[in-house]
Amino acid sequence: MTVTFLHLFPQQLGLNGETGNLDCLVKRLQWSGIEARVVVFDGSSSIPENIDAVFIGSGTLAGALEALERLGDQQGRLRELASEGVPFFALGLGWEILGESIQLLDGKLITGSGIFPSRSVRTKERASAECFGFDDFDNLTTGYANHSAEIELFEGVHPLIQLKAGFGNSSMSFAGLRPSEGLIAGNLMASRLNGPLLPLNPHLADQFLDLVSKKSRFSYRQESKEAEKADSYATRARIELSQRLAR
Amino acid sequence: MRLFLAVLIGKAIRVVAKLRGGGSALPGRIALMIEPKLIQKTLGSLAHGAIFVSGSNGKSTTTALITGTLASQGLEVFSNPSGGNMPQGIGSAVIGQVSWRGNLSADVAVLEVDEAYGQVLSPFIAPSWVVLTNIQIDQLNRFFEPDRVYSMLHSAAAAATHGVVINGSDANLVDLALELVDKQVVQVSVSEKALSKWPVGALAAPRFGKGEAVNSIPVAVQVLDEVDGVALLALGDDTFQVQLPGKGLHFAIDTALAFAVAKQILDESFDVSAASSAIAGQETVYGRGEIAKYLGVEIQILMMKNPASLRATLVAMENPETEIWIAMDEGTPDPSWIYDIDLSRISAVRTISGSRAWHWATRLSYAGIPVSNVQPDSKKALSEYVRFLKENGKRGTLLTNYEQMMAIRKLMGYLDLESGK
Repeated sequence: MTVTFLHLFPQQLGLNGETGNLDCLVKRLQWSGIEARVVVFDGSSSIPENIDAVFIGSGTLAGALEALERLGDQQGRLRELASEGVPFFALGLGWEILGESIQLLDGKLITGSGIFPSRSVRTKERASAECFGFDDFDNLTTGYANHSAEIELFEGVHPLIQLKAGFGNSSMSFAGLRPSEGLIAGNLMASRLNGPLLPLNPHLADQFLDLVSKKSRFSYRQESKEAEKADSYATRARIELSQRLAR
Repeated sequence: MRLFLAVLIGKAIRVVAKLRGGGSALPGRIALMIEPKLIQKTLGSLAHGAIFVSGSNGKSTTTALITGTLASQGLEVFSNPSGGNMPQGIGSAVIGQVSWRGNLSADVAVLEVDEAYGQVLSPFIAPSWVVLTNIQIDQLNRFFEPDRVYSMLHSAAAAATHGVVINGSDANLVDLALELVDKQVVQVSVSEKALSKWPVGALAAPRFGKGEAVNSIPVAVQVLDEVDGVALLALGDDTFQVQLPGKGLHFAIDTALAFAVAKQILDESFDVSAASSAIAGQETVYGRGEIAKYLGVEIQILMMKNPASLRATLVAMENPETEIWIAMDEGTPDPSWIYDIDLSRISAVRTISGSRAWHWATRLSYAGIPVSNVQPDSKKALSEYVRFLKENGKRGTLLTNYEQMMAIRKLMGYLDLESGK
């Protein structure tokens, strides 16, 4: 079989290395002998059939609002995919527009797609920093936060990462708290650590691919030499970052 | 008196800093603490004022090209060195060139100005002309969104006392220029033919939520074509060829910007052929193809600052003689953008160094590009790479960020960081 990833709005939401995530997902499948491809949706046609997983990246607020507008009547189809259990991975502003709502600085409330169980309030404060923390399986997880919104998870929704340093779902600086970052809820995964989160954190990539393989009924085991090498580099990159921040 | 003291102490620090081989911003920083009006007092009274050059990419090159162009017309030009584009760096350059009494002998200043500091500098020294190169994706960790760079450059341009020159192939700059209703604005236009051959040369930041702008800005210079480092430009009815400092449409645009501002200042007396031959003899700004010699080997240094500069560098890069060396450290706080670049021009990497080495190694493994050696320590990386080049009798290629370039040049014994010699 061929696994098909739907990449939403790479033009509007692909500011800073977002494609690295799709590269990572496709390569990891290919390295383990599974065909994979990416189809793009930019609002100019309808969402194709036979989608195995959905990815949306981050970008500027203006780009995100344009993407939301271009999503138009395809919102229903996207919600359908989510409720059928197709795995979604969303980053930053892509996550925000797929949430319940975004409140802009002037108080205006923008209705999102309502797929992710969260809402966001844009803030004047801006976070811009390297971050590190641990996921539910105690994997060291790192990335770069660059955002200005408070994202509130709905009650009972679990964050993806607990941070030791940096900025999580709030863009405000915190004092001594362990900020929550991202969310995980069934087939939905989200993070605000922009750019190439997955190649640098292959445990998250494999967690997502496990969701995809369960939904689309194929078996995925990552035992390739290529992944072993890439992951050893990524591990060193995360260790370097966390040691530097912990100093 | 404060000016005298600032110059005195600044010059003293400069001597010490040069001996230590670093800290080019330090003399300026200290001198500005003593005399905050240092820049205004020394550059404020020049006959043609101060030209600010800003934008995401091409600032250093365009500054050097404007300097060379105006000098070829017989003007005495003061300029800040490559990369020293914040107030401290400009202050250091002033300290290096003023007399002990604080007098600066020049007709015009050409200043490379950091995007964020155009606004900060403008109140202290109003620019006569503002030249804007482009708005591209750059340093998002610091600028957050290209939209913010837009408003910073807008404020800088609005402070111009004479006028503004823009790269008209950049849609964001066209929007910006059209908003400057009471300013004299001219543009460099780029032909469809040139743009179609070099899409990377004019890689603009995204522009969302705005309608199609009608580009009605008067054209000062046209870029008709670029072939292997030679530009075909048009000024009025005349077309002429110019040998560029390097290959690529971005060099043609930068040169056209230089000619455009010179034409605005000098009008009829602007001598295009003198300007063209001056530019043909101009050395590259360091980090843009400079060849460093060290322990009997040659290493070509190519700088990568942001997506557009890495892309342009890779497209223009001659086929490396052998495996390349990549160096990047925390001077690039968020290297995410390295995933946005097509790396297919790189066939093999010998060494990766700097604290971002592991990050790069991860990226390269997903691109399927072999890496022989990951060595975060620059000093060890340099000696290993030199040994490798010697064994193979090849010239090396170093792809590096600004901070690693400075560090590695220092390791190679290049002491005067200000002039790049």
